[in-house]
Amino acid sequence: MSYQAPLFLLLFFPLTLLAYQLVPQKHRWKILLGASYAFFWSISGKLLLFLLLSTFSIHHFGLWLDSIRSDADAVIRAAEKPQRKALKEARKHKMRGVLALGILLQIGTLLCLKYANFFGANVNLIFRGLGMAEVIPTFQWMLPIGISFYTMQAVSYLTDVYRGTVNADRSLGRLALYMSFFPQLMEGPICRYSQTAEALFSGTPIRYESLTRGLQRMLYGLFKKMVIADRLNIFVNNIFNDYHEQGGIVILLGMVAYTCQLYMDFSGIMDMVMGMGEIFGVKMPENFRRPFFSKSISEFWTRWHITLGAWFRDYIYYPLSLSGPLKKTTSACRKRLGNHFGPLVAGTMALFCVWFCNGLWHGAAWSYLFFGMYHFFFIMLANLTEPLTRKVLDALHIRRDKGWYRIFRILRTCCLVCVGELFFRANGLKAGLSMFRKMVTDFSIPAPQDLALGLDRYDLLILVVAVLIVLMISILQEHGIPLRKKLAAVPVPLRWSIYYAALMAVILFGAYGIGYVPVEPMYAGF
Amino acid sequence: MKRKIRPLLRCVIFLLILSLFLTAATWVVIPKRNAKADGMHNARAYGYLAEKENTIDIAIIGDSETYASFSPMELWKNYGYTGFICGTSAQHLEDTYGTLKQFCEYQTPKLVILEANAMFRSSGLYSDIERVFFREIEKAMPLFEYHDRWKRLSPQDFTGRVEYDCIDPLKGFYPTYYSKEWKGGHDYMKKTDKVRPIQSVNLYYFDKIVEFCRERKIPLLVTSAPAPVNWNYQKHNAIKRLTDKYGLPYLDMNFSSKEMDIDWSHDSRDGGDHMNVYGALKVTSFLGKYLDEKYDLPDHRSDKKYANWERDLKDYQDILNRGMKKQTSKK
Repeated sequence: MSYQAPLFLLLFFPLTLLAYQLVPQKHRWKILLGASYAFFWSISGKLLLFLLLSTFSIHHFGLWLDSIRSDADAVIRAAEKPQRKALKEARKHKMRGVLALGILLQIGTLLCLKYANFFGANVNLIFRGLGMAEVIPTFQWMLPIGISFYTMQAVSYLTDVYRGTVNADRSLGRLALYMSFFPQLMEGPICRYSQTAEALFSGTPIRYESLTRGLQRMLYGLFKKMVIADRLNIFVNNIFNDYHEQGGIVILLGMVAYTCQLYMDFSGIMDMVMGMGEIFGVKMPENFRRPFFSKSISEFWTRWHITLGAWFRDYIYYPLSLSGPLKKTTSACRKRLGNHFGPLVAGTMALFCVWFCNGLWHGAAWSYLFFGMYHFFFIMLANLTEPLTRKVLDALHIRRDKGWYRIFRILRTCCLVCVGELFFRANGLKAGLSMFRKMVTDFSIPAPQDLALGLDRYDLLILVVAVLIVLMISILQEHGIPLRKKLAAVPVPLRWSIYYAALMAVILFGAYGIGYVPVEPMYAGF
Repeated sequence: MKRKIRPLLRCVIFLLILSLFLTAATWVVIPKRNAKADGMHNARAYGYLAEKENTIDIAIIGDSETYASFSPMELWKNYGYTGFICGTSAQHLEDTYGTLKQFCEYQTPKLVILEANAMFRSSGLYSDIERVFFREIEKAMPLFEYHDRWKRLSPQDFTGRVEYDCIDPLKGFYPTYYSKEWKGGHDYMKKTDKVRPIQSVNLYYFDKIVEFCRERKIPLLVTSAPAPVNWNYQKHNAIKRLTDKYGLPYLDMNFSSKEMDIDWSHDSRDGGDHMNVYGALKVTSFLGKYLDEKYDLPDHRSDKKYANWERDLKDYQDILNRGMKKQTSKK
C-alpha cells in the first residue's frame, strides 16, 4: 500500500482519521501506532520484526544512557572538585561506548540487509581477479520498507540522548510511534525526536481547518505524483531501458524528464505526507524548498531532501570536523595555507565522508557512490575557487545574486543536477557513462515520432500544462507569496472550483489504471 | 452545536457536488460502443452485449486459457449450442465473477464453464485485497476505469446514446495460427499428493461464483484446458478438492491431451502455455462431446431466431480459413 493507492486514500486513511477522532484524546496515539504498524505490515509483512527490534533497542539504549548520566551526575555532585573532571571524563567514556554499541546495532542491521550483497560481490570480484574462489555467498534478504529512514531516526535519537538535547523516553509506545508514524514511514522526512514525538503523542483533535488544509496539500502532492511523475515514467523508462537505441538528444530529454519525474514524485509524496501530518496536528520538517531555484550545488542540497542533508550535517559533518584530529589539522593548515584554504582541508575530509555516506545511503551500487562523489566534487570545486570567483566578479562589477548572472547560476546548477540524476537513474555506472558519452557526442536530430516514446500528443499537452502550473506556484512561493493563505481568503465558490478542478484533473489525467504501470513512490526503494 | 454542524454540512455539500461531477464525467467517458476502437477495454469479452438478449446458453469464463482453447462456433456447428467466451488475459477471479454477473444481466445461460487457471493467479494476500478494492471502485464508478478515454471522445459521447452493435463472429474466441513446440510431451501430469494452495481472495470469489450460479440454478462446470506450462498435478489436486467440497463437476483436460490427439509440436502457440487454433479445435471437439454426453443443452440450429448464428458461422469459417492459409503461405 502506498500513499497514492486507492485503498490507502479511500479506506485506510479515512478510517484512521475516524478512529483517531472518535477515541478519547489520551488514547489517540494508540490509534496512530496501530495504523502505522498495520501500514508497515501491509508492505513488509513479517519484516515488521526489524522495526520492532530497532525500537526496543533504542528504547533500551536511551534509558541506559540516561541512567549512566544520572548515576554519574550524582557521583560527580558528591565528589570533591579536583576529582570531578576525571569523573566527568569517565562518564563521557562510558556513555560513548554505550552510544557506539547502540548505533552499531542500528547501522549493523542496515549494513547487513542493504549492503551485504554489494560488499560481498565486490570482495568476490577482487578474489576472482586474484584467481581465487569466491568466498562470500549472495544473500536473499528482503529489505523492510523505510529502513534507511527509520534507522537514521533511531541514530539521531540515541545521539540526541547522548548529547543531552533530549531526555530518554520512558514510554516505549511513544518511541515506537516516533519511529513508525505511517505518513513518514516510506520516504521520510527524517524527523528528530524533538520535532515530532510530543505532537504525535498529544492526540491533537482534528479540526475543520487542519483537515481542509491538510487535504489541500495532499491534493497538490497527488497532482504532482499522478499527473506528472507517473506519466513521465513511461517516457523515462523507454529511454533509460533502451538507451543503446537512442541518440544524444533523446537521452538529454530523458535526463531532464527523469529529473522532473524524481522531483515531482518525491516532493509530491512529501506534500501528501505533510498534509497528513497537518491533519493530525503534527508539523514535520519540510523536505523540499523549490530546489531548482538553487544557485549552487551546496544550496541545492539545502533545498532538496533537506532532512537528509541536515542529518548528515548534524551527525557526520559537524562531529567529524569538530573532532580532535581534524581540529588539529585545521589549525596546522591555517598557518600554512591561510584563512580560506586552511580550514578547507579538514572541511573537505569531513565533506568527503558525508558524500560517501550520502551516495551509499541511496543504494548499494557504484552508480550511487559515483552520484555522491559527483556532488562532492562540485561542492569542493566551488569552495576552492571561491576567492578567485569573488575577485573576477568584483573586477567585472557583476553582482552574484542579481540579474542575468543569478539566472546563469540557477541554470548551471540545474544542468549539473540533471547530469547527476542521469547517473543516479542509469542501470549501472557503465550505462550512465555510456549515456553521458552519447549525450555529448551524438547530436543526431531525432525524427518527431522517435521523440514520443510511449507518450501521445495529449500526454505531452497534459505534461506541459501541469508542469507550468507547478512552476507558476513555485515562482510565487519563491517570491514569498503565501498562496495557501490567499486561497483561504477567496470566496467559497471560487475556492471550491479550484479544488474540484484539481480533483478532476487527478482523476481524469492521472496516469493510473489500464495502460499504465503503477509507480511506487520512488524514494521508498532507497 | 452550530459550530460543529456547519463544517460537517460543508463537507457533505462538497462531497455531493463532487459526486455530481464524477457522475457527469462517468457518463461522458464511458464507451458507447462495444468495440476496442471506441475505447472499450477487453472488448472481445464484451461481444455478448451485441447478441440478442437471452440467446446464449453457455458462458465460458476465466483467463486467456478460455479464448485460446475453446471456440464456441465449433459447438454451434456440431451441436447447435450457443456459447460465448468472456475470458480476458491474465484475469483475476474477482473479474471472472464480475464478468459472469454482467453477462447474466443480458443473458440467461444454461451452463457456466469456469476455466480454473485464474484460481492460482495471486500477488499475495495484501496486493490481492488492494487490487480487488480498486476493481470494486472501478465497477461502481467506471470513470476510474475509463478516465483516459478523454483522449478519444466523440460527439456521441456527449449524447449518452449507447450502441452495442459490434457482433463478434468468433464469439470471444481468439485464434492464433503460429506454433511453438512444447517439448515435454503428453506425460506432464506427474502424480503427487501435494496440493497447491489457493489464495483466500480467490477462494472467496470462487465461493461467490458458485453461490451466484446456485441462486440462478445455472449448472457450473469447472474445467482445466490443456496447458503443460501452467498446469500440474498439484493444481489439479487443489481444484479437485475444491470442486468435491462444493459438489461440482470438474473436467481436467490435461489428462486427455493424448485422447484429444494434441500434437504438442504443432498445436500450441507458445510452447505449451496456450493452444493455437489447431489445438483449440481439438479441445473444443473434446468439450463438445463431453457436454453432449453430460448436459441437456438445446440445439438451436433449426430455430429461425438463431439464423444470425448461421451467418456468423460463415464469417467465422472465412476468418479461420484465411488465417490458416496465410500461415501456410508464410511457411
